[in-house]
Amino acid sequence: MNGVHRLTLVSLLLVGATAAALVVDLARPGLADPVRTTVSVAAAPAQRALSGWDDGELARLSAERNALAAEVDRLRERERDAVELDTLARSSTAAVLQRRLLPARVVAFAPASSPVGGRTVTLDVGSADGVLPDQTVVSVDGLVGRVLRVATESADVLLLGDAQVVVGVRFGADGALGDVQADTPPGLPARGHGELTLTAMGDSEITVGDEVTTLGSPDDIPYAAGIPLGTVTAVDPDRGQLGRTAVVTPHVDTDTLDLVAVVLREDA
Amino acid sequence: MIRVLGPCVRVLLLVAAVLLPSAWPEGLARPDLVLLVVAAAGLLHRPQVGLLMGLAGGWLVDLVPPGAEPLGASALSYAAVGLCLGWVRRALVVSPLLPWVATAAAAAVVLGVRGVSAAAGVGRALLAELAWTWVVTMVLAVIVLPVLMSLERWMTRRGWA
Repeated sequence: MNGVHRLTLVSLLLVGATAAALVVDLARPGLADPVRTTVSVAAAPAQRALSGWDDGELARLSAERNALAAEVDRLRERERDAVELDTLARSSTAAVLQRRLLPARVVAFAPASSPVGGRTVTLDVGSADGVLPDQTVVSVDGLVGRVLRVATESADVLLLGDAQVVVGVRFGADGALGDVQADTPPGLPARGHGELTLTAMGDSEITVGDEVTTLGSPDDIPYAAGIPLGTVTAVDPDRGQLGRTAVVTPHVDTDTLDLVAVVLREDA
Repeated sequence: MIRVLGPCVRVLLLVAAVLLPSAWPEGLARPDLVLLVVAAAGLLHRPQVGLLMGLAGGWLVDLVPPGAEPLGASALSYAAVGLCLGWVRRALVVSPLLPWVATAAAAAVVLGVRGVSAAAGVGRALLAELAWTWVVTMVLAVIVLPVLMSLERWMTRRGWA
């Protein structure tokens, strides 16, 4: 067998193996996680070094500012919760009182060229720092996303705006319930860059300017309660959709993320 | 033994292409450096080399954090592009501009696949984001592609590839 035939055979075998891996990953999505984790461990030092091009003092001060701003949010939330604790039976409220923030830096963004568009970033903190899958990630402006995968020294975060992300929310002065997601229901106007769709539960009115915050989940997994998410910037016309819908502009610009924080539990 | 050096250099180039976007300024569209490395090899060697470069580059795109899902999709997408560039390479010697044009078409195909899959309800892609990625990649290709192709020719002359 000459060199060209051998190269052709190797190419065919590798394409076949890749196609098989694709099918297996589609059928069993978590099966390749050990491979991803191994690559994460190997790539983390290089990504950390490459992303640290800016001034260290600036980064430290920015991290401090973000942590303080998040602390103010937390204290405001705690004050509000303290008043309403008797009437609110949500388990997530208790979780709000136990938040601890772990500052982290975004060291890599998802490639724009992968066939299936996902919105993920990599943080420079991992299981060694107490990060666990599904923990909430915030920035000084509000909700960023949730932890998707964790390696020893890095963690991948699924950003708000990814097609897989649906967040339970409260909006308006009365704290009406709804959900926010990237997909636009059929028949509604197209969304602009980064805009999301709020769908109200029941008959709740949506008004332009309504603040949208996370509803929260038991034990803060995957989203802690009361985290600012965005503002309603337009209300969709009624075109027969099941619930009222509106356009939400998120507070966080996921294209320019740098310093963020992972919401840990006190016992983490 | 010396022929191993060429593939080793190419793998190092691919690893650098996957990692370097971490140093890219935030807020700017990130170029597809992997495509440029695959194109440089595909445009100068037989189709199998382009295909293998595409496979290797795509696997790195899929695996290096934050990676991409499903595993292997990027690898097959880049492999197809590498294979096609290898097929058309002989037609591109007419003008020094044609390799750039072929790379532009290849970049458009790779990003187009993402757009089509998003339109079909798999994943999410914003047209402006795809367009900016293509523009930044092709602006960078004006400088990087000739350098990478010169490196490929140099390795070929020395018997490395």
